[in-house]
Amino acid sequence: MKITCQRESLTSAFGLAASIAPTRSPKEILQNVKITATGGRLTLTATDLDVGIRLEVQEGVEIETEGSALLPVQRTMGILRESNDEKLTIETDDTGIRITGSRSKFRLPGSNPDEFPSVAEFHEDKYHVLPTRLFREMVKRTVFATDAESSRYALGGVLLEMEESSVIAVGTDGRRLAKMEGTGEAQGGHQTTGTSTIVPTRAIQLMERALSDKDDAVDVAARANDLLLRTPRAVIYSRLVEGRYPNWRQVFPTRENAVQIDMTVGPLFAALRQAAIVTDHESRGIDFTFGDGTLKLEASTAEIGESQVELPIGYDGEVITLTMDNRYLADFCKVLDNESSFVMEVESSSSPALLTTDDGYSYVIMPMARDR
Amino acid sequence: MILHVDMDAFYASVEERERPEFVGRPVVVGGTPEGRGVVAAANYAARKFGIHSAIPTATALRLCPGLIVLPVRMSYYAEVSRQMHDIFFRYTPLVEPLSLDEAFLDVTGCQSLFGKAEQIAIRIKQEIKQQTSLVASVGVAPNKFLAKIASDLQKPDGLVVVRPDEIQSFLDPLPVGRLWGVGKVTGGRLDQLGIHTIEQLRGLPVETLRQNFGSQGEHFWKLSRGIDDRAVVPDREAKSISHETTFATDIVDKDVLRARLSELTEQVMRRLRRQKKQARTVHLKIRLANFRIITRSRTLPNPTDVTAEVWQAGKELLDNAISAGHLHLRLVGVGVSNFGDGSDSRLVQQSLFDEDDQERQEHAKQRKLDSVADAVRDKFGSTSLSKGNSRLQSRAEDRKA
Repeated sequence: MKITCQRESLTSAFGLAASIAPTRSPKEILQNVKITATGGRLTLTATDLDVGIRLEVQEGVEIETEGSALLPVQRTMGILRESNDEKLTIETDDTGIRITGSRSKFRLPGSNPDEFPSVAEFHEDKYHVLPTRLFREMVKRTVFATDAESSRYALGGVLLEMEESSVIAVGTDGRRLAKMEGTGEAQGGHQTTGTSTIVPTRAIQLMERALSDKDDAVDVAARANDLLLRTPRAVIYSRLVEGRYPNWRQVFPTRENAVQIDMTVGPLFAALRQAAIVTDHESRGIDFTFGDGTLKLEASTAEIGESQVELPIGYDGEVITLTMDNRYLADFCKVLDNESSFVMEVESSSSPALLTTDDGYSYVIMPMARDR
Repeated sequence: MILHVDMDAFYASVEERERPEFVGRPVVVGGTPEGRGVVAAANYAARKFGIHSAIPTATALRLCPGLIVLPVRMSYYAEVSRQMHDIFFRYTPLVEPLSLDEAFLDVTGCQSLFGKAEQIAIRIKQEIKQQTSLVASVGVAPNKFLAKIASDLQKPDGLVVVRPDEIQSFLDPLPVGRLWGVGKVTGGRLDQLGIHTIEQLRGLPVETLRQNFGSQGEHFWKLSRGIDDRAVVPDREAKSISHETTFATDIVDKDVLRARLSELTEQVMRRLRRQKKQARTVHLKIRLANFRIITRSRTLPNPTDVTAEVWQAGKELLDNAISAGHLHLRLVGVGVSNFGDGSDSRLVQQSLFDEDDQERQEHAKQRKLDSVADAVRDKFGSTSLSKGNSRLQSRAEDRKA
């Protein structure tokens, strides 16, 4: 194989592929990115066996001799980063790989590319087409609520439910739950079954990172045990999380008599950060008292201190207090713009708070309660 | 009965243990003579030269030019000290540590469980020797004051027992300097009065003592009669509880290892519950055949005193820590820390899903189970109840035999 390519475009593609290759693995071959030059195209593949990526570099590639090679992740990345050549030539021979710039030459050992595990291609005719922006928001707004440490493995991923034009992503750790809804377009009658399409947190984050806002849409195909995502340049494969996802619909609040209060992210987040100054790792609860046109945030931690912060709200009905973990509310504020408005729905000290935006995002926080 | 356990030349002995080439040679632990440091501890070989703790290192070097001076490694001694305390706690919860190397133990309530106080003292000495390769002197007496004197009488490696009917014959011949509170000044005054032994002191009326020594006088009057009713105050400020065990031969069977860990967890949790505490962080410690130590810890979502919950975490830590490659272990230990007061009402994060309710019910059930198990063990001894898998260990020992 012998190719010449523009360093910059190769670097960004290689970097993305490299982020999937495991840094440590008993299977050393996985610490490579495989490049394949064939039919006028250069394809990069990398996998840790749970997640795989297949990327195409279209710009600035000249293929002199077709073939493939395994590029060791760390060293190749170093060369790409440190070189200041506009173009680099990569070729293979019997002894290994040669990377050549105008005034530099590198030799790296080459393993047999045929031994590299194959990374799935996107051949599906049933899939959903989602706006790229929507997919990115869905990931960003749900992934933080997942719990990779949970003994219930299913909570270590984002649940995707796709049927006809409805697309729903859910992330929960069992104490709070984030849900983002949007519209997509089903191709070939594609739909997910029940709550079985759970994409591991790490994989869906990698997918989000691989997307470019330049692309309008992504294709997502859920299969029995894995999920494929396609953009114009890349295909990412992920195994799904095995395990039963809890029945999130059952616990999602649908209340008629709860109080709904209009709020804006910025001021609430600012008040929350102030009140949270006297919380710590052990004591994270903040009392939220709604009433008399005011939301009062109060925290008190032994040996640290007390705080009380007030925020005007449009509610002067019966006083409602509930205690929430300050981090859970902060997580919600962090994924939204300061100007975003939302509705805070509360009912009592023992029932969850429901926060909703008008662009399909909902967030449920279970309160804290005195025990024993 | 009270035990006073006092390690012999503790810091220096720990260093000697680590560096066998120093055994028998004069060794002190302390600051450098350049830094005008002082001796923190001297081994017995160094003491022969008149070196003792608190003298300047420079002076010590003058007394013994070949003296080996080692830096003080306090955190390491503290770790060894914890191992000793763990041994004490196997016998009684009433342990009052005085410093890293000495402690009072009240074994009055556990003699029916472990045998007479003297037996317990022997066993503790043996276990310390086995597990830390260090030597302790133990005094056994009806109270703290007598136990402390007793432990000092036959150092090193001493064991002195003062039975209730021997108190006077034990005290009488001793010099008055042995009494708590008798230092240079008081000693000098007593000397002027012609009082040298405790027996002579005991001959003085309490009024005379009061006249000469004020309120201290009555204190001396009592001590000379072996009267001391201060209780052993256990150290409730402990920041962690842990147990560990070193295997006679390296363990290679994961099931046996788990069984041992399960037992250790049981012991740790029993102590935790006895102190009415709850812990949030679980620690695992293993030492590989090549002496490398691996420690892992995990913080639970809520504080707990339930054996099964800590065991679950410990088991997972163990599984993660040992890959099949290096399952040759010399030691395994488990501990808990990050205590909360179990009696306090506290804020608990509520859960969205029923499964968590099941968890809560399970938690309540396990707590009940633990309290029953504790009651059985308190009544019939710690070996009266054991998990099925602990039989694995005895099978392994049979093999060894």
